[in-house]
Amino acid sequence: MFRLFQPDEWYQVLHFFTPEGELSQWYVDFETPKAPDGYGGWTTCDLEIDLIISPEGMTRWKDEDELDAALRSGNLDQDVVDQVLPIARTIHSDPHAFLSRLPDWRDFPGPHEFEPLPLPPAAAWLPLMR
Amino acid sequence: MTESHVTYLYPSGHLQAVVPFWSVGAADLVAGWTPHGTEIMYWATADGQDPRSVPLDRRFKGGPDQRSANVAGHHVPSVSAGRVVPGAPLLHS
Repeated sequence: MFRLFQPDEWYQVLHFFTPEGELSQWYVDFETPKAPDGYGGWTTCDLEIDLIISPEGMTRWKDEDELDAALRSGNLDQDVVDQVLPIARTIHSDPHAFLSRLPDWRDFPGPHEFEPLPLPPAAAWLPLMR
Repeated sequence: MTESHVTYLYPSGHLQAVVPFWSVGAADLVAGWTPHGTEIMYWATADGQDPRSVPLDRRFKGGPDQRSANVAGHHVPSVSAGRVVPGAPLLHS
């Protein structure tokens, strides 16, 4: 799985590839802007809703029901969702414009020399388990 | 190329997931690759099940504080044909 994000944006763009190395879809994961965690990584909050974009530029919402459930239960604040939904709808309405601004990493289907990674040091996440 | 990760937190501050990646980008753009076999972490129900096995009307009931603090370690399976292999407790499947 390949990901692209700018820390101050309300999404990251995941790239899924087929075993043959062809891009199978972009997956726009809507989330809060990312903050450095002090351990070489980033923290964010998933906002449940996602947008799938096919290589042909067809779009499909995903997990709208999870967004609704999270809102109803108070797990997500309406104010936060109100910030991200206009961004999501803009991308949905014109995915080609969105993709044209996205750096093109379609030729990066995961070189074999990349070794699997372990979890980061426990200090980065253990204090968050509560 | 450096090791990095993204940590997903619920609004309450509870841990949702940790996903490592190789950072291959630069400057203000983060580009990361998570190879097959990478270990990830995702919160689990008290009996160790994928939280998505809990029906939506109960998954968020009572807010995150009602969730189990259990977190299970998993490995990223093969990603093929635009989907994560079923059973993989990734965020994006």
